[in-house]
Formats: sequence, C-alpha cells, structure tokens
Amino acid sequence: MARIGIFIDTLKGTLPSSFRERIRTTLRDVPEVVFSVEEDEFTSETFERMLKLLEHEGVERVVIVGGSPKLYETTFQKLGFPLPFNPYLFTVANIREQALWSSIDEREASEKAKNAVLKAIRIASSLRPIESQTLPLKPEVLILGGGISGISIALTLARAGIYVFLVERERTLGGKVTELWKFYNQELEAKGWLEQKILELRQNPRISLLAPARLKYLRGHMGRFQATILTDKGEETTISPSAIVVATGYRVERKRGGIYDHKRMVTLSEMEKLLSETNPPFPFFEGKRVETVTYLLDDTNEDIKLDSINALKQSLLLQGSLKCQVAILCKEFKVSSDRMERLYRKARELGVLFFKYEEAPRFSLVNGQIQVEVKDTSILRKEDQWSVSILSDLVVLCETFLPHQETMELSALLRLHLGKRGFFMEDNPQLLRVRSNRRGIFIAGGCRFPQEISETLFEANAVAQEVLALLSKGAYTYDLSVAEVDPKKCALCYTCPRVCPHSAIEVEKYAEKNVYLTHHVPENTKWGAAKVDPASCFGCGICVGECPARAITLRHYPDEFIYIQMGLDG
Amino acid sequence: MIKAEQKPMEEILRSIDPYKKILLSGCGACVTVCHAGGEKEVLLLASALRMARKKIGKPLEILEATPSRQCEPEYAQELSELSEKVEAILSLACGVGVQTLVRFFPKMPVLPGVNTTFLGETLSHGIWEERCQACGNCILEKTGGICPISRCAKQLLNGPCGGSSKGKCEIKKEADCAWQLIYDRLSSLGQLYKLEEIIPAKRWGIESRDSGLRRIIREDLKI
Amino acid sequence: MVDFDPKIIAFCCDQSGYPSADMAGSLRLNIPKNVEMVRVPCAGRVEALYLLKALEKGADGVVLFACYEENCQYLRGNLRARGRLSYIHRLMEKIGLEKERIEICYLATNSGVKLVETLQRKTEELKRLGPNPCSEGK
Repeated sequence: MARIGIFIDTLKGTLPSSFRERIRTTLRDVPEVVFSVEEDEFTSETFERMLKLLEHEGVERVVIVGGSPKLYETTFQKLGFPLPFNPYLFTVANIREQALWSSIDEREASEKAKNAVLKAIRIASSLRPIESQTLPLKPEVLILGGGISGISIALTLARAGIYVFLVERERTLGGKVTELWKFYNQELEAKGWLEQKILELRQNPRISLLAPARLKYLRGHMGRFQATILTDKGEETTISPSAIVVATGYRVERKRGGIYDHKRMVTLSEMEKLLSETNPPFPFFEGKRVETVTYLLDDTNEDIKLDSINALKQSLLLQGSLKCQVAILCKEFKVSSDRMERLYRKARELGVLFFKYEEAPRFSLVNGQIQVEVKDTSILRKEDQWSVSILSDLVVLCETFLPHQETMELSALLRLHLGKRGFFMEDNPQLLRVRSNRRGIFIAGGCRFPQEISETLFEANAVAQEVLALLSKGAYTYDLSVAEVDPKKCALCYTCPRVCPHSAIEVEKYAEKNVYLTHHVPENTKWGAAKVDPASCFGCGICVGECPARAITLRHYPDEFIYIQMGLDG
Repeated sequence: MIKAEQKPMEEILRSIDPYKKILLSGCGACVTVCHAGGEKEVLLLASALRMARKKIGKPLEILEATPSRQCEPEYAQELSELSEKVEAILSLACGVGVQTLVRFFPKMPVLPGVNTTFLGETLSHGIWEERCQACGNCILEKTGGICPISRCAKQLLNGPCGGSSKGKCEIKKEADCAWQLIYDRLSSLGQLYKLEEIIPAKRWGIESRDSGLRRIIREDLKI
Repeated sequence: MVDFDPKIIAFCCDQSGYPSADMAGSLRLNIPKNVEMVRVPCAGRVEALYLLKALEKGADGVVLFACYEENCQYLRGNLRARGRLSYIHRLMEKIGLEKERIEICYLATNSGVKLVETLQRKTEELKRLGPNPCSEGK
C-alpha cells in the first residue's frame, strides 16, 4: 500500500474552516494517508518544512488539496526551487474552482470535494516517478536556403560560436533580394548591402557553404539529425547537425494570357529593374518617355503586404523626382508596416492617385498605350461612384506568391506540415511563429510567408535566438513524460508515425541498439517496431488513442489515471 | 496484406444470440494493421456487444484476447485455456484465422466477426484498395506491374473494354481503368511492345481456385 | 420522464476544457453535481474505448471538451477526437443507444460559461432521454 502525505492548502485562509474540517473527516478513514497538514501558502520555507516531514514519515507520494492544479504547476515553476519530491509523484485535488466555487451550497461542495480528494489519493497510489534524460547538443546547425533569412541567421549564429552549414540550391546567394534595388524605409542600395553580408559570410570560418546543393535525406531527430547533402557535382556529404533551419523561400508567378502578355504590362520586379537603370529626370521605356504609370494591386496575394510596400516605394520615386503621374488601384492598401503611414501620406501629397476597386479593372489597348478602366468605390454614395479611365504608358502588375517547387518534396523529407496554401506551417501562428511542428527544426522567411525585408530580418533574428536558446546550454534536458511503444505488441502498421503531429515516431528496423525506455526488454534486443523519440515527443497522447494494437502508453498519463478520474476503477 | 472490415453489428448480434458467455478474439497481424480486429477493436466491440445485450435484457459475458496471429496452431493454442470457459468464440481474424480455430477447437462454435474483403494495399491512412486476387499464376511482369485480374472489373487480359472512358472504369466510375494504368505505365517504362504479346486466357480450372482446394507442399520442409 | 440525476463524464482537454472549468468556478457558476471531470493532456488522448466504457460502466452521458478547430496545441488532437466520436456514434446507433448521449463541445481557454451551459443543457437532455439502458447494474 502506498504511503501518502496530504497537504491541505488553505489558500491563505480563504478555504472556510468548516469545509476543511469535512475534508479532514473524509481523510481519517483512508488507510493510505499517513499525515495531513495544512499550509497557508507555498513558499520556499514551506518546501523545506514539507521535505522534513516527508523524510521523517518516509512518505514519497503527495496529494495537495487546494486550488487548480494549474496554480501549483505555475507556482512551483516560478519558485524555481527543486521540488522536495519527484514532480511526477504529486497530484492535486482541485476543491476550490471545481468544488467550493462551483456548487450551490457547502454541502454539495463537500460532496464534490470528497470525491475529488478520494480520486486524487487513488491516483497518487499508482503514481510512478518519471526520470529525466539529457541529450547532448553539439553547436552545429544546418540552414537550408541562402536567401537573406538564411544568410542573416547564419551570421548571427556564427557570431555566437555555432558552426553552420549553409545549403543553397542556386549558384548565387541572396535569393529574392538580388532582384531588389532599394529598400522602402532606408536610403540604401540593396545590392551593396547584400554583397557586404555575403562577403562577411564567406569570410566567417564557422560557416561552411554548400552551393549549389540540396538536401537528399534526413534521418534522426533533434540533437542527432543525419542529413545527406548532394552537391550538383554529385558528391554526397553527411552531416549531423543538432538543429535545422528551413529558409528556402518562395517563388513568384506572373499572370499570363491576352493583354497581360503585352510588353507595357510589367511586374513589380521588372519595374524595380527599370528604375534602377533610370537616370533622372525622366524614365524611358523602349526609348520613349514614361509619363503615366498605373499599379494594379490585390488582384492576387490579397493578404500579403509586400506588394503595397513595393508599389508605394516605386510610386514615390516616379511621382516625385521622375515627374510621372502614378495611379494605384487596390482593394485595400496595406500600411501596417514601419513608416508606411507616413509614406502613404507623402504619396498623396505628391499627387499619387489611389483608387479602391471592387470589380476587376478592365484593360484595353489604345494607340499603343494601355487604357485602364476602374470604378472607384472610395466614394460612399453609390450613385456618385463613376468609372475612371486612365491612359497609361506602363501598367505594373503583382506576381502571385507561391511556395517554391521543392517545398512539397522538402516537407516530406523533413516531415514538416504544410499550410493550406502549401507554405511551411508554423507550430502556432500567434505564439510559436518560427518553430515547425518538429522539435529542433525552425522555419524562417518566405517559405513560411512572404514578407518585407526588414520584417524578414526581425524574424531571422527570432529564429537565431530560438536556436541559440536551444543550443547554448550544450544539452537538452527533458522528462520522460512521453509516449512509449511496447515493441512486443507493435504490429508495424505505421499508424503512429502517420498520425504523430510532431513527427516524433519512426519505425526502426532491426537497429543495432533499439532499446530506450522499456525496462523489461534486455539491452541488446533487436526488433522492428515503432519507436518514439523521447526528446521530440510532446506527450499529447494522440498516438495512444490511435494504435490498433494498443501498444502505446503515455508514461505520465496511463489508462489507469483516466479510469480513476472517470470513477470506473472498481 | 489481407484487408477486412467489421461485420454489421446486427449480423454479429444475431450470430452470438444463443450464447451467454463468449470469447472475443482479435488477431495481432493483418486485421490489426487495417484497424478491423486488433486489440483496440476487440475492446471496442466487446464493450458495444455487452451494452447491446444489456439493453435487451440478455446480459453477455465476454472474455477478450488478442493473440499475435490466429493462423498458426501454436497461437490458437494460447486461446485454449480461455476457450474452456466459454460457449462460443467470436473471431475478428480473417477467414483463415477463424478456420484455424475451427480446426483447433473441434467442439466449439467459432463465428466470424469480420468480412475478409481482399488482399490490398494502403493508399493513405484509412483508405485501402484491392491489389491481388491470389489467382495462382502471376502475370504482373507482362502488364507493367498492374494487375488486371484484381483491378479490372472484367478481368480482361488483353486491353481495355469499350467502356474505358477518360481513364475511368465504366463499372465503377470513380475507379481508374486498369488497362489505362497498364498502358501509361508501360509507356513511361518504354515497354509498350509488351502489349503486343497476347496473354492467353487464364486456366482457372487447372492452376487456380476452380480446380478445387489449392495446397502448397514443400517436401523439403516437411517434418 | 423519469426523475433522476444523470451522471455525466466530462473529458477536459488541458488547454481548453480544464481551464474553462476553473474559470467557471472563478465566476461562481454552478457545475452540475453529478459530473466527473477527467483531465486529459489533449482531447486526442481520449480513446474511442473510453467513450464506450463510460456508458457501459454507468454514465448516462459523455461530453468531450476539446479546443476549437485549428486551435489544438498538438495540431490535430481535436480532429482525431472528433473522428473517434463519429465512429462511436455509428456503433451507438447500431446498438440502439441515442447518439445525443455523447457529444463534443469546442471551447477556448476561458469558456467557463459555455462549459457550464453545455453541462446544464446536457443534464436536461439526459433527463429527457432517461437513464442509460445499457449500463451495468441498471
């Protein structure tokens, strides 16, 4: 029989004494209970007192009777003291939120509390300590993609003493930034800026550049990935990075067909090139002066800010020093970036025309120029809205942002999730933007979502910080509160590797040493069975519920606990 | 592997109607993989059956077991102790497993709980498709590795029927025409010449199931 | 209509159901008496078997509190739970049990009111349906 110690948390005396008295009466009849003491709050002194009491009584399992378990979990973490017991050897009876506060009267509350306390004692009786393990992490990182994200992450990591392998599929580094001429928010030419970065990258002894090359295989999990890199010369290198950053970028596709093929329909990046080659006072297109330019935004990529930013940047120049008349047709002009509001105002002051359309604008050819017809809906009264026609020398189009061709293949290789549009998906769009669904793999830049360079650089910094936070300690310590496969029962059906949201399960085929947690299997047993990587498992238990052979258990949350809570254990 | 599907509940209930205590036995092999008769399904079905019988006032007692496989006598033996305590065995193994138990327990009614459906592969999790009918004389070499016996509704051996339309079968509209697949496959392999060879009609009555019970004998292996 | 106090087993995902129950307490809302709260790390931990076992062993109804779609901390736990529930619903139909006895309810972390309303509504529904005819000892 387990020996259990009970600590009743009076929550600074807020639990009524009559209520506490009823609980103590219940406890009197439970043979497992060795002692029950009351504490007003949990502090480091309380911990010391608890430790003494537990040692004195020879008690290893603890039930805390009080508020929500979440309260204690956060309090104990905040205190930062080592718990006086294995963190998996205590359980909480939540008698405040889910009894006292949610009942009609104290009698009903006492009934609920009694039930909760008895269940907690039963759970405590079957608790087992869960040990922790440490996984050594070498300071080695693989970065896929040598665009601006990859470059700046590599530089940050290398400065912090981490060895970086940078794999780029193209012959040149820089990705989409090579098409950029100027930034919208700083007086800087992108080309020189990028070259400086690449130079720094090439000179850094901690960065090994593999280009043109691509990832061929990836095996293993965080801390011991085995990545095979294939260069264009057909050479294979295998490296074993601790963490991986995916920054493979995006691709763009231009609208084609009909008038869209006309030479006076240019894309934003073609316009950027034209501007970089223009000498004031006037821009020229095929030898003729350009006087009117119309931008068409939001006919594709409606939720991406990048087009608005580039269009505004270019139109300020065109309308300003290059003496053109610019019109911007958009559904919603996106100004939610650094300094964009001011630039937008400046554009209006300069005379850039903005039209807000709902129906797609119509294009037609008139004397070699393109006539754009648009119904301006910025006027509220419907009857006052009229069609505007603009005879333009150039019409500037947006390109559609799409996932890079290799993204799909790469996601299968890395076992990462893709979002609905086919870009890599972050683990949590609000909280964990740069983490992927796998521990130890991070995503950065346009392969997740195309964005403006200054934002990309912020994000790259965030990724670098995440990687540093992981690797700086030299090891990753985790509790074995994870799923575990019983190899004897495993039917090798591949359900769990398919269903695991964190790609933490693989089927190991007769590996040399395949025993990791299971105590009853001898050390040198060989088998083919699914295996959970304990450092990559998040302990959600989805695989447990799916396994058709019921071969998987969640070590810190076995069936038993659930049946006890359901009140079905006997 | 063998694919199976659980029988309709009404049919199972009807078959176990006379008994008060049964053994529900799953199988840890093929039927576990296709989520039809592994330990999870055994426990679920047992619970459902007990409730169904409780509802009509005829409580049923069920012992649950899932041997690693049911189609070998040694595994069947694992059930012998349990079988002494019950009136009948409901088996979630394939037809083979059921009959191994029948051979092993001569006096015990053994009832099937699943329909053994086909030999098939997993297309994606939760979707299985037929790939082989165990015809006894494999012709995959001639058809680019795609089996017209199992995948063509008419089991045609020399090209599609007139109902093949836009790559789909006329009998089952959502299914691909096997001969379209064969043509595409051979064409991508550069082996279209293989189609010129006439595949003779299958001798169902000599090398296949119509010849009566099939049996494989390896003299060298006999003990 | 039989006058009885239906027993409900409520599986609470640790990200939504459980904190919502705490929230309900903080708001001094009354959680029906005959509810067994089962804390699980994710709705995806709730096996199909638990849902059936709950009914078999004496519960009159089951509520599965999961996170809203696309809001699961473990990405697809709530979807797997929904899939398992649909399988159990099919089984229940075949053995002649009302599907309404088991339902899935999507919550956010702070949906204390919705949790209590769901449990109270469920209690009323189960009172209408009557005691679970399939449970042991009835």
